[in-house]
Amino acid sequence: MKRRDVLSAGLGAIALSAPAVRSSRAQTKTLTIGGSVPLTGAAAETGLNVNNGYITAATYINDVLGGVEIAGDKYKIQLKLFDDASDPARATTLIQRQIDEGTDFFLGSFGSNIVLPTVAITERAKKPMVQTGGGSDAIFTRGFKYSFGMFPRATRQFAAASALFKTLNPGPSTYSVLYNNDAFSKTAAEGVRQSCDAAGFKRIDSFELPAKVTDVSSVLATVRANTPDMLLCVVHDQDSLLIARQMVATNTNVKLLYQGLGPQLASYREALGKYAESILCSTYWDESVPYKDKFFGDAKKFTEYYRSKFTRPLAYHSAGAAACIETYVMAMQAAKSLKPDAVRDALAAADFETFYARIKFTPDGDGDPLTLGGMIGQVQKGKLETVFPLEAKSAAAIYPAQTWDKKA
Amino acid sequence: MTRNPVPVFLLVAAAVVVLAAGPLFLPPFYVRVGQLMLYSAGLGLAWAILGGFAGYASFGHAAFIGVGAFTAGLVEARFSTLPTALLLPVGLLAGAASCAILSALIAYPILRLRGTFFAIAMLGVSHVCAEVTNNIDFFQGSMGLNFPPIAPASWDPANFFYEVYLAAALLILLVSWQIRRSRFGAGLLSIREDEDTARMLGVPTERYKRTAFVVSAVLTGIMGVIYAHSLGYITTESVYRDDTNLSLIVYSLLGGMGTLFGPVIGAFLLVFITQVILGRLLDFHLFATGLLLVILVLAAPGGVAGLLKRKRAAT
Repeated sequence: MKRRDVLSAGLGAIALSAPAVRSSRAQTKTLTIGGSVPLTGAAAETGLNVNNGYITAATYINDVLGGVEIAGDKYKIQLKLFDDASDPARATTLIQRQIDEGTDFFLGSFGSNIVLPTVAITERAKKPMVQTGGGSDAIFTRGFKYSFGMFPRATRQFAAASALFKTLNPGPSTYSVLYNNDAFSKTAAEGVRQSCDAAGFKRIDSFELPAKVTDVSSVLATVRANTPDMLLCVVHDQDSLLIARQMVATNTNVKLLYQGLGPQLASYREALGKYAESILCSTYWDESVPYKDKFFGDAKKFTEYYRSKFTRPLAYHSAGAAACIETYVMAMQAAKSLKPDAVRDALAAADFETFYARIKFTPDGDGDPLTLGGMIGQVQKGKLETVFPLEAKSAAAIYPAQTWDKKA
Repeated sequence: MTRNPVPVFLLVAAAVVVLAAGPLFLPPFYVRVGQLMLYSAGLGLAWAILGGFAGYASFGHAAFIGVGAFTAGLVEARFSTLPTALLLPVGLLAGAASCAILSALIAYPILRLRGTFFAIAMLGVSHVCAEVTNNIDFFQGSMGLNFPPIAPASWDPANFFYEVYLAAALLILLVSWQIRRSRFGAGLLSIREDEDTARMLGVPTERYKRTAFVVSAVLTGIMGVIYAHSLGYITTESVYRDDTNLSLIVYSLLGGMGTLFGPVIGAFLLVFITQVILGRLLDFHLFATGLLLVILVLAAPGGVAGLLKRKRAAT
């Protein structure tokens, strides 16, 4: 065959296949989801995690799954995310610009002080926003109908732990709470007080520690004197370790020690050794959660794909952010529509399982306290076992805990 | 020979009418950009009363934004039964009063410092106020403070706050203009040129500096109160921002240090660059902003006002 014939045949083949290419391209439409994320400024550390989560889900859906089918059409996801520099005022202009340009669906920034002003704009424009960065009660008590959060509002985030305590039989009846003087801890402590008081537990003490803790011996002296059944520490992980060590050193025993952050880390468990046994903590998400979905399959596959794309350590914020996109897609599929009102209604009625958690929202738009309120883990034989919710548990909760001298 | 003020007045009046009518013809995004421009211009003008006229460049005026905003929020919460229309005036009064008290209290010691020392001390004031707001439960800085919606039901909140910002910025412009043309303003300029000589020549430098400081703080606080209302919910990080401290200096540098309209030009220019031109750059907007600022300041050391003056002198 001559070179010219080969070229002619090749060109002919291309010409013949062109309509097929065109038709397959015509079938794939673009689903645009907008938003802002703090990639610089004070909230950048977590903002980058959130951004990576959004990118992971969109890339996986587009590149691995070839898009998603909604109401008979195939869509690829196009993210229009901009850096709000941790500045609420900048975030509002970015969101407004996207609304003006016709974006119908939004993902949230990180930090309630940024999320709330942007949600107020999307709400007014009647465009849904699904976010994983704002847990303040203020976002969910203003009657917004188009705003959905992947966490329960701050004061309900302890509901899962409190529900676990109620299942214990014989169970605890009194508690004391310990928290740092910062936004995260104070909000969490308020949640502890509201959930535990509502569940009928009697509060003995409420201790506020400084933002940087070096010694808790005087607080522990009061704990020894007042003997609460439960000591609930909503402090940062390094403070959790200090408190546990000083409890061991001063032989301060309680029947149940809960430390919101700390026991999840292998370094914490190694540092405490056998004393870590029976300590409880919250686990929002990790790669061993048992949930499954039709996109990634499960948490392990999500983790593998994330790690193939990013070198940044995987945080639960990234998983939550990826779940925001999955939630949108499932809501659109349920609504069989891309109209913001229809998608909003489907989000409000959502009861979807994702690799992250079971997605369900309260009528106010925050995450259901039991399905999205995180899981409760307990250190058992050096490993962190999930003890709540019951459908995800890998072991039964141990109560009461042994005293420190028996653990030794 | 004195310049005829009528053309300038007419120009300003026309600009005000056009600005006030902005929401009627601007798309919502540009209304929000306009809000930011007016907010920044008001802050820049308030800062320039001390930093531009008297030459005391504060690197901590965000303290007054925060103090004004948090005081207003706390006071309004106590008067929550008042009609909605009265909440903003009450907040403005409370915010302004708290800034006046704070600035009057710290004026004497802090204004004994000059130059870099004053700038750093003000940065310290800003950080101390932020820490106090964050760490003392009463202020609710870490938990956040809610501001009730105050825009009339028939008015789009974005348009409403645009007009409120415009009114506040005009008020500050008027105050700045009055100061600039008064004996007090001349005294401030003499302090900027040579404070010791000014004192020797009989200018009550201490009193003038303190007055300028308090006026500047009060006007900044007023802008802080409006800003908090426009956001609806603030935490310490929303208002005590170091980038705001920096931006206030940049507005005057860009527009023209010590001039009346310099901070307005600088604020409009910077907001336009960062929000409209560079807003879409995901990763490079801060780098691009910094680069552009360096080029602008090198090309026009006296700011835009200085550039215009040079051109006028050349012709």
